[in-house]
Amino acid sequence: MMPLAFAHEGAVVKVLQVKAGRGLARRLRELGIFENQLLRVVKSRGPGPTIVEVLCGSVPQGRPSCVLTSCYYHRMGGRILLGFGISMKILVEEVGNQ
Amino acid sequence: MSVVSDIKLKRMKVALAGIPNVGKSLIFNQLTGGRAWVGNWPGVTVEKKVGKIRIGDNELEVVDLPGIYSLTAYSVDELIARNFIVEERPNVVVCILNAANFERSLYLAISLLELGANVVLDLNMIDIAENEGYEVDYVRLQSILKVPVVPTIATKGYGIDELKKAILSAMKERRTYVGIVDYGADVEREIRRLKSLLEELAPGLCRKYPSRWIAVKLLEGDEDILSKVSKLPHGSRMLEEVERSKRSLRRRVEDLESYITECRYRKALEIAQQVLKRIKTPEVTLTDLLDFVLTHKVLGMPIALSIMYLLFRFSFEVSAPLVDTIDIVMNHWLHDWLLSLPGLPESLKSFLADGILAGIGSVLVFLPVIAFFFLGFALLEDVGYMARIAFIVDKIFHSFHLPGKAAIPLVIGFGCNVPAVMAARTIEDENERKVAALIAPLSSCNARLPVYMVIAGAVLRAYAGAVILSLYALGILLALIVGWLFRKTIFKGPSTGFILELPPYLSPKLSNVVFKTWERTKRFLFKAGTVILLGVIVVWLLSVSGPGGYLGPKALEAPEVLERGWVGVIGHVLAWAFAPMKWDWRACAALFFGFIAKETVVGTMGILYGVGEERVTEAIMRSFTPLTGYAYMAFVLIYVPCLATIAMIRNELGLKYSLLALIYEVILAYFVALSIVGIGHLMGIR
Repeated sequence: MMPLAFAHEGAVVKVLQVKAGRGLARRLRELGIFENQLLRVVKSRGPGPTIVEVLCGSVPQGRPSCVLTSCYYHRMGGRILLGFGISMKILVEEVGNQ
Repeated sequence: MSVVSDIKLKRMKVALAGIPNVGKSLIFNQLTGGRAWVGNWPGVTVEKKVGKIRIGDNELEVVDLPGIYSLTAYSVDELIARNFIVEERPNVVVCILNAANFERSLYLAISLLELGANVVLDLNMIDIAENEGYEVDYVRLQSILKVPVVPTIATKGYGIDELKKAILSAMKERRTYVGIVDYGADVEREIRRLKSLLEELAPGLCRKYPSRWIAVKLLEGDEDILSKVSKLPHGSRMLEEVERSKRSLRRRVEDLESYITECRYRKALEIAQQVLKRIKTPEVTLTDLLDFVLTHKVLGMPIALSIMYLLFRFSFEVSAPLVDTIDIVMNHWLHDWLLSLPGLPESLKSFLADGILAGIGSVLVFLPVIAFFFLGFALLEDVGYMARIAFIVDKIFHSFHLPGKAAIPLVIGFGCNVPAVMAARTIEDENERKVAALIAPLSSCNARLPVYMVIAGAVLRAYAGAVILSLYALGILLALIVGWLFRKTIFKGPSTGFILELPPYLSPKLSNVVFKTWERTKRFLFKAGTVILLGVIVVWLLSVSGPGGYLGPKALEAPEVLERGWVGVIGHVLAWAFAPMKWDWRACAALFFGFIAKETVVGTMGILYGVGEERVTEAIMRSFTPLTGYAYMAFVLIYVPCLATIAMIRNELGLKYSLLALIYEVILAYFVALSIVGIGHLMGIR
């Protein structure tokens, strides 16, 4: 588990926890960033702001890596720029590289 | 069509809603034939705009709302949109979906359906989605959502007529689908229970909103609805029941609020899966490639600086021939011709030639520079580069306790400070928003440019270009420092960070770029014809009259007479206050008139330094040294941008903060100018 701000560029990460206040957490959910969602880190000023893409579909139980090699997911909508403060509040784990 | 229904239709309201950067403004323009501001970055529309739409014989009122992601208001612009939809209940809500950002658009559409709005869906940007390898099965979407769906490509005007027809038929036949999301058996049971209670205890509220929607919002903990219910006669009883529902659900659902939004979101994902068809595997898109370079770890910053530098060079160099032409025509030919006119009284000649023409002419000379600047700026906006700047500077801004998003008002500020102050609205955190609005005027706007060009051109000559750029940099640096000071004192608080959706890069649309350039340039021209003209007339009047009475047009021919005029008095008093900087009294008088608008500084200089037969440039050269000239330009950069900006800060933040802005800017300007002169002297520069 680590903050999104520390994830590598190009990594696909799974969101484990969003430690944000109410308003912020709600906005993130509206953009598709919540527990168990997959994100691809497009840019990271590690540690600094990040640009992510939300990937559709969540990891099937027990087989995390297959998602990344098959076509389980697709990129969803525009990219999202998250400031450094927020990138620190989203805890993720890396599940693969693209 | 009968007369009765015609009148009825005329009173109808149509609202345009959609997530940010979905092309709402463009569709608004296409529908109304109007000219709303369009830009390829989020937050272009921060105020709702109203227009008229003609469909056949009917005229409807169309309201363009700021972009929102949902109906739970989070930032100020979202609050405006939500309040309109919730309170004013438009007859039809056109929800514009971005086919290339489908799931997120769908989330808003679902929220609108739940609210019981009479929704028409406009599936926009289908061309971009196709480029990215998707196709949206809109017939299927229509059958799932049970509301009309119209595919459009707003940039090409495709589908707009169909959209108009769909709006018109929706006026006649209202279709709603409040039960679109299934929240699961447990939550649904509580929703049903609260729903029937609401219908019994709060019939009034239920007539206004669908009872199911109120029940969901109560469980979600929506502040607005909670406070509305609490004010009802049976309010406290109702809220107790809500708490009871929440308690009984706690065993099954961990966090009810996030559970509800997630259900809605999953519904959006589910629908998306049913209607999105992949027509080709995605290639590496242009956006990928451009973002690789433009937001690069090492290259991003230098590229951003180069682009800004290019923008300035472009506006200076390309406009140079036009500037010279205007200068020759206005300040020489026209001036001489006016003076040579026979039969005109001397005082009128002086008023026209030495007053109006000298004042306005010296400002208008810079019109081409400003127009080309706006042209370059509009290009960058349309391409989608501006939003990237927030990413590039976030790390630097963060160390000043400011969000990267605060860069957007500062960049807009290069054009004009008034919209810059407004642009701060998109910043979520209240303290950060206030600071961003307060420091936005430090960004050097186009109105200051003529001052720099006149003074730097006269005193610093070969270095003028570099010096002018340094002033822009100084403005940004001061904005950061002042922002940091504010964040450490008045507007303390943790940095909450910011979220910004990045638009895809698009090739600029010529008509849009030209229109925006023209709109902004027109505003400058308008200002020259009104505020600055007025300022110039006042300056002339105060020049030819003084404490001793009317001096006559002679004042503008002989410097020693001019000094006895009112401008002389004002100038000398200010020159005393600015004694350490050793500024000429005429320059000080110009500062006084520059309070209204920065262009008047140049206008005033044009009149005062043009006294006698010498050229303005030469007069300025003799009254400034490079050092005092630089200090003067820095002062112009920092002290009050213009009355309009101060008024906008008052609008946005209230009187208290507009006074704060006024005071801190004047003090800061004095301090910086003094430091420049002081440090210069220490270093042996004169």
